[in-house]
Amino acid sequence: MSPEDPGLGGPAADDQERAFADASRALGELDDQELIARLGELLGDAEVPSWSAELAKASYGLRAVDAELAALSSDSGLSAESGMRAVAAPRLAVFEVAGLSLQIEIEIEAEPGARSGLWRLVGQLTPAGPARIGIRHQDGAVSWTDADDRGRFSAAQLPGGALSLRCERPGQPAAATEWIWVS
Amino acid sequence: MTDESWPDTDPVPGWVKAAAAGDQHAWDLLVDRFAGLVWAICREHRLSNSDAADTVQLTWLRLLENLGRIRDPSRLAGWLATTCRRECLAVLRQAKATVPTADDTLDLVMGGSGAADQSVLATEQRAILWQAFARLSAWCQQVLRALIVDAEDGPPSYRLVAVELQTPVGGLGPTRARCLSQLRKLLDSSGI
Repeated sequence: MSPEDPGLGGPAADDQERAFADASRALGELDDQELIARLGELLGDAEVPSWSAELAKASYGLRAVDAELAALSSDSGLSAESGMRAVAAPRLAVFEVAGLSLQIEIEIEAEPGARSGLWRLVGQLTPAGPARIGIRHQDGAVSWTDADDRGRFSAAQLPGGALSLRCERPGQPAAATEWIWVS
Repeated sequence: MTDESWPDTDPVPGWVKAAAAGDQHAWDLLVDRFAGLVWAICREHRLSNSDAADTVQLTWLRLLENLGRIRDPSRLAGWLATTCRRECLAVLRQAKATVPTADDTLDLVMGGSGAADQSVLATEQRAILWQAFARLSAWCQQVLRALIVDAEDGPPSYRLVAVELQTPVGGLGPTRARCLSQLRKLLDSSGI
């Protein structure tokens, strides 16, 4: 789990407590006029397209109940970068859970200027070893591939959007990575 | 409806527990209750519609993978708002990296520490306000919505709202006052 997660203890949690206390106090100090105005802004911004709510509900089936969660420990797609980032540069992401590290490189399958909207990835398991790899998509579809004896795997023609990898190693508990957004 | 029986126990912790245990219906209830808040946070960060849609969905997936791990389910609104905000900032950062023009939005939400704190406070306030509003009775929510949101600019027409809600116009003022007072009570109790 990321230490930034507000659900865990630690410095981020203290900041969260302080933000909560400050915010509660600020709301309590508003007069009726201001409170109504604030509520109006909030409700006005809270329109939910019906397809969005349906998609969120349907996503419940994506829960990986029997797998350990491999958290995103680094992601080149998230680091603050100055200046232009080459659009074609592959994105490097590493997921970790006790006893396993999954490293992947993702890049878009396209000629410059032509957007196919499909992606390819290459991955590496550490410790190196064979495994069944399932690349899970938001709609529930899974693309299966195998990691070889050296823990290497690859996949192509992957649709963008939310992606999570499931890793099944012989004799080991299954692992599923955090969802990341590929776009 | 007597005051002693109000407010009802917050159902959200029960829903979180049930959803973590495999209950699809509990998950649906969580989506119904908080989808508006998650969209509101994305709009607060001025994301485009398509970026907002992606960020909203990713926020739900984050909740899904953390259902069994939420430290304080009674503060789920804050958890969702903070998680959504984090994903919004990632989107904004990425946009800034690939299009290096002055980005007012990013500076607004990330600028000097003062501006960033302000933004955290604003997001947290939205979460607290949302959670309190959601715990009002359905009638209070309807009345307040009709008087606030449908008003657009200028004061609401109590007469029109009375017709819309099929309720005597004379009762609207007292109802509004009572519902606002209940909202404040919920806001105060959330600060404990």
